[in-house]
Amino acid sequence: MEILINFIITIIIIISAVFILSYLEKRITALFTLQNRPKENRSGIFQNAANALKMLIKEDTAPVKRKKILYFAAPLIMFCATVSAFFLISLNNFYIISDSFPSVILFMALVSIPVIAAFLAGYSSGRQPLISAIQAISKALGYIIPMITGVLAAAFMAGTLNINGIIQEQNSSAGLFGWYFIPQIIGCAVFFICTLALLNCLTFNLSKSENAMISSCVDKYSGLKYEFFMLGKRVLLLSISAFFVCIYFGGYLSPFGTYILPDFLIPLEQWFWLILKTFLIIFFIILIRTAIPKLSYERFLELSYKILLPLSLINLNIVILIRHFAGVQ
Amino acid sequence: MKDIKQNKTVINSNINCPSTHGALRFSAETDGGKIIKFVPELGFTHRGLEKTAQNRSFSQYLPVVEKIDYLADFFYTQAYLSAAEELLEVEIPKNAQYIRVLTMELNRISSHLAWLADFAQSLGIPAPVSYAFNLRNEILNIFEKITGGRISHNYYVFGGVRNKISNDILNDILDFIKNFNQKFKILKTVMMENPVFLDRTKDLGIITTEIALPYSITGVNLRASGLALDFRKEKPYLVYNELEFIIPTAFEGDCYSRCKLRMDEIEISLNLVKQCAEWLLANQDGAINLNINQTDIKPKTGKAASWTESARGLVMCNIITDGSKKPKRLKWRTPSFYAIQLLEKIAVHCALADLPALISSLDIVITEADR
Repeated sequence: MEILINFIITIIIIISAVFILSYLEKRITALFTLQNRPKENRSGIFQNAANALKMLIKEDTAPVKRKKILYFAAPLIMFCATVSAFFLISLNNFYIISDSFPSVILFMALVSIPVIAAFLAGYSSGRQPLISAIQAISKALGYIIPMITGVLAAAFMAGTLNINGIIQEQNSSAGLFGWYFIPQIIGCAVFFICTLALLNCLTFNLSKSENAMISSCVDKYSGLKYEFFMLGKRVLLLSISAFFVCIYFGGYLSPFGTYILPDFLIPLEQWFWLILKTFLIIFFIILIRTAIPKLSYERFLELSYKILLPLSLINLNIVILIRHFAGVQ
Repeated sequence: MKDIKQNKTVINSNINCPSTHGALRFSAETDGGKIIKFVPELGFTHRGLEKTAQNRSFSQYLPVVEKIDYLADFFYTQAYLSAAEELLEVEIPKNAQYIRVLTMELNRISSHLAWLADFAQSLGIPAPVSYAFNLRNEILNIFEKITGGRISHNYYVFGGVRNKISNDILNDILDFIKNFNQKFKILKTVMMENPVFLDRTKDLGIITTEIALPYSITGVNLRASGLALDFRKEKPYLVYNELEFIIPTAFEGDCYSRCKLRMDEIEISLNLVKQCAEWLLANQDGAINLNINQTDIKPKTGKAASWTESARGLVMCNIITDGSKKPKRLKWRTPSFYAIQLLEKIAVHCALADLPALISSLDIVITEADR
């Protein structure tokens, strides 16, 4: 029974966050690119609800020569993987939905699945999406290794592979200065860049490029199936930003070291801090997406193997030295 | 699937694919992400505009001409009217000539800005897109004040222009020029000084003079390869020989130099607009048209050719008449048609992901090529 309630609460959190996110995404992008809005006094909040409704009642078209099972499975895989990844994030110290011990490894495994879903979608629906799918897979080779090395360093520093454990290790009276982004600034930067690549953000959106005439992997989907992909994408953005916050920015911890609110409200305050930090990270991701041009494919692989991978290894060695001299066993 | 095993894939672009500038269909044979054969195909927006001319009277055909190029319509109207006026044996008043140059140069700026937005979009830079469109919007507002229309103007008439540009509008234009530079500088910095932009556009799609001349490429695409051929200077029409301007050239012939050249052209056109506006402010009294009865255009038998240097290159209009109200034969030379032919040569060995930037850098408008 308790599991069911937890499940429902988290689903509600996810759906409301996704709606807020898609609204914010549009508004922030418009702000940074100086887009002129029509002069009406409507804020456009219901636009997303209308979009979702339209997607639901839209006619479902599909290519004739599709591989039926894979074509059907791809959006489900995408959605399920990203939502289950979100379940692993501990929103506060008291209400932890799923506290499996090596949750960092499980999380990394789950957020790698959308690439496979994208590949299946591209592979099953035709020739043009296949090119995009191939690019998605080969791009994954570039960012997954530095990303996991970065996370490994954080886990090594904390001495645990549990997300909640890593957050607890960052808890100190120094507050902000006890978080892992200070000793691991290199790893933090590498992880952030890899996050951009994983999210298919514009700087690295090699596999999703409407402007490159290669239609994106999900181009041949419509209606509810497409909606699942979009939902999955937003949940992925949400969960990976929350994970980033948990690993390097202390998750639900207060930046002042002590909580402001009285004891019985601490769960709410922890929740607030996590959401605030997550949305700040999302804000930066959107900012970068609007400002920087797209890298070419070769440049991205060069970046990941010549710069990101060595940097993440250096970061790992720094962490080992810190552990050694701090005398932690 | 058989093709994929051999590492060769044929990709057919759909005509409703984004970034095909209208309806460019092509099939590209690729090998490991590199294009080895590129075949463009035209004719999906063919509206028979040359044949239409034979069934319409001269003044009926005038609004149709604007539909050739939706981004830069004044050049085509000017080419058509200039040929017709040659057959009518009239010379349009000085004021009308200055107004035509002013509107054409403004149109060149707006066309280049639209191109800039498109080029940024095809490279995947979202920020400059609305910067450029906001600037273009200001020019369209000026057009709306002058002509009443934003895209289709129908402003030029046989023997001049339809109505005067008032002093208020001329002052507006001078204000616009004053404020333009600062906004344009931001756009220039965002695009041209970005290392990622440089990396993607340098040495991409090199057109040398040896390649360009057999394909009869004109306009910026030719000037980027080092040949300063501009028909505003080469064979001046209207009042271009009274105005001061230079022809910018580059020698690399790649996407970057084409982009840089268009940026330079915007500044030069701005200067031309300024000169025209100042001249018009000083000479407001002159006539602006010859009061020809627009519905009764009947040129003498003969043939005439005229040209304009449009935003995309050389536009030519050839008319043969037989003394009736309708032209006997009308032929357009539109620059994009030749630029598309060039693609099959320069797109080879280019990466598939760079293809949209390459196509966009040639400043192609498919409606113009198809007519």
